[in-house]
Amino acid sequence: MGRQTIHALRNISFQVEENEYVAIMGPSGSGKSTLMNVIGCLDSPTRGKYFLHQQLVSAMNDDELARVRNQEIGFVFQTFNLLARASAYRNVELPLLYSRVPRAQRRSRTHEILSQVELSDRANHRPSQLSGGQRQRVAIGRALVNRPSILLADEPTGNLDSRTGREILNLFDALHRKGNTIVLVTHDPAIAVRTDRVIELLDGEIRRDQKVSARDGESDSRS
Amino acid sequence: MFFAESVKIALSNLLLHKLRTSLTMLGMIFGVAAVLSMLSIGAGAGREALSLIRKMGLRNVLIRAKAFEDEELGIIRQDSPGLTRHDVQALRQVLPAGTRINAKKEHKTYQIASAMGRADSRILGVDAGYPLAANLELVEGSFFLPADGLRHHQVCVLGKTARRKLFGLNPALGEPVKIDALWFTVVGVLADQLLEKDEFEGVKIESVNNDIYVPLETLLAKYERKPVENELDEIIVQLPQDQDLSEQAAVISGMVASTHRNIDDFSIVVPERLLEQSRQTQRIFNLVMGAIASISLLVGGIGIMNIMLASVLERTNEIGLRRAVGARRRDISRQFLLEALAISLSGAALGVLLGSSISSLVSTYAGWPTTITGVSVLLAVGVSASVGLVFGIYPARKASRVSPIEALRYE
Repeated sequence: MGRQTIHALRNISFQVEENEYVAIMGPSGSGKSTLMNVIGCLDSPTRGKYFLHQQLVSAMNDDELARVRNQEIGFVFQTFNLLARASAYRNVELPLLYSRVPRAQRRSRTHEILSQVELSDRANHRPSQLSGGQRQRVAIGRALVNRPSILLADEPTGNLDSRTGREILNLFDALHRKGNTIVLVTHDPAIAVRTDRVIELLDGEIRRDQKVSARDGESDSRS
Repeated sequence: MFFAESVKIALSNLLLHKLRTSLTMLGMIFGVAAVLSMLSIGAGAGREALSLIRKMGLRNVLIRAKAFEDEELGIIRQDSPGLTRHDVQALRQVLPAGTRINAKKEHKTYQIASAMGRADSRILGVDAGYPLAANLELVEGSFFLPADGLRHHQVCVLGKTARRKLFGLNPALGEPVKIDALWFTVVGVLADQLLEKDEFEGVKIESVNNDIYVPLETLLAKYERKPVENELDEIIVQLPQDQDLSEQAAVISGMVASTHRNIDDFSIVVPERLLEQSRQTQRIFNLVMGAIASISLLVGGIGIMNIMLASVLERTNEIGLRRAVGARRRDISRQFLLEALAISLSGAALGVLLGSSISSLVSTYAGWPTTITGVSVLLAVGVSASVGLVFGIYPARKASRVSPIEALRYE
């Protein structure tokens, strides 16, 4: 038989505006993760173009991709992916180290972010000493610390109980209102409905791309 | 700034696995300690060799009478007169101007005493120029003069130990010392000689602390000796700087052989050659020991590589996360390389401590002189740094090649 190239994504074309809140939905195997890796500059498409802020990301080399990930993308993962042995402060500070921000600036920025995600009093705690919701807030803090263009969240509530999950989603809403652009990957329609726009994938292609109209401010009213 | 952060990260990662890190470090510790203590023993031996040979005089050629049984000597004396003042005269004529020649003769005594004590010293008859030839210094009085010899004056110069035994803390200058049946007046005392060994590369070197020196002419004139005995024990030829030692040693050897009618009853010692010989020995010692010690450094390096590879696997997820938040490949490889370096360098630091204690133990208990030189510390640390670098590169490269997507999926 031999090896066969599988195209995880085909004929994908869409544009995300600044300060848009987009959900990417689809069953497993639909290409969500691959799309997310491309958006997150972890992976380059074999064909096609990806522009981020007029920069052609799909033509970048490894170092340039690392810089874009550092400056433009803030990742939030389902499994948090915190450094287990480092304090909340150290975890949030991490991206600043790779953008060579001077120490004093790093400190003030990290504290600013920690207070924004309401973890100032937990700065010196390790992930193991934090609850699931607190861990995810550390991860969100880390994603925001470099003021990225896109906040990219992959099933951010997948490992949380529903109450904590709602807290996190409220935090996303608040970040969105502050002007952040958010791309959220989920399979949960109840989450997708809180966003501005839902892109549904199936078998590597976009099945539906539509604005959410009936929001009725439910995100604010803790449905 | 960022470098400092990377070092901090590397160190804190190592501290997380204290047992593992210290076990890995052991290889480096023992390797460096071995290299350092071997080098220090070698350097100590070298330094001692140099000082012993300096004592003999680097510009000197020594002619020594060989020791034989009396019956053998009887046979030899039928042809060869042995080492005599005649040899000194003959050598004066063939050797270049500026050459100093000194003769020496030991007298076997049965008693040496002062008003206060006794000594079991050697009595040596020497020329007035002897202190210069043998690098002797005086702390009290002065050495006797050529005139003392010519007039057979009964004067003597004491070594440090001899002085202590005969006079203790009392003044010695001008005091009488009885050597066998004759009384001698003390005119000088020698400075302490710090030699611990009296032999080097199989050649005897004299420790002078317990010696008593008298004018050679006095000794030969006033004391009896067996007819077969050599008139002199040793002739010290000190050559001027511009003369080639080997060449002149050959001249001396030929001259003495002819006066001895080709009887092999003397030996020629060239201290400079001994020095060369000792350097050769030391080079071989250093090479062999260095090779053995390097093997343990090599093993240590493999240990580091092993642990770093395990660490790369274990921290795949961390690598992926760091890449996702903006670490470049080289940031990742630098982090792992710094960890390998940190292990090897802290191992080296501890190894330097261990090596210094080993070498001081060796000098305390085995009595070997040891010297830790800055060069040997630098060498040991430099080698272990390169071991850390060489064996850290592969795991570090491996870490930097981890695909962030795979790594993040890895739980």
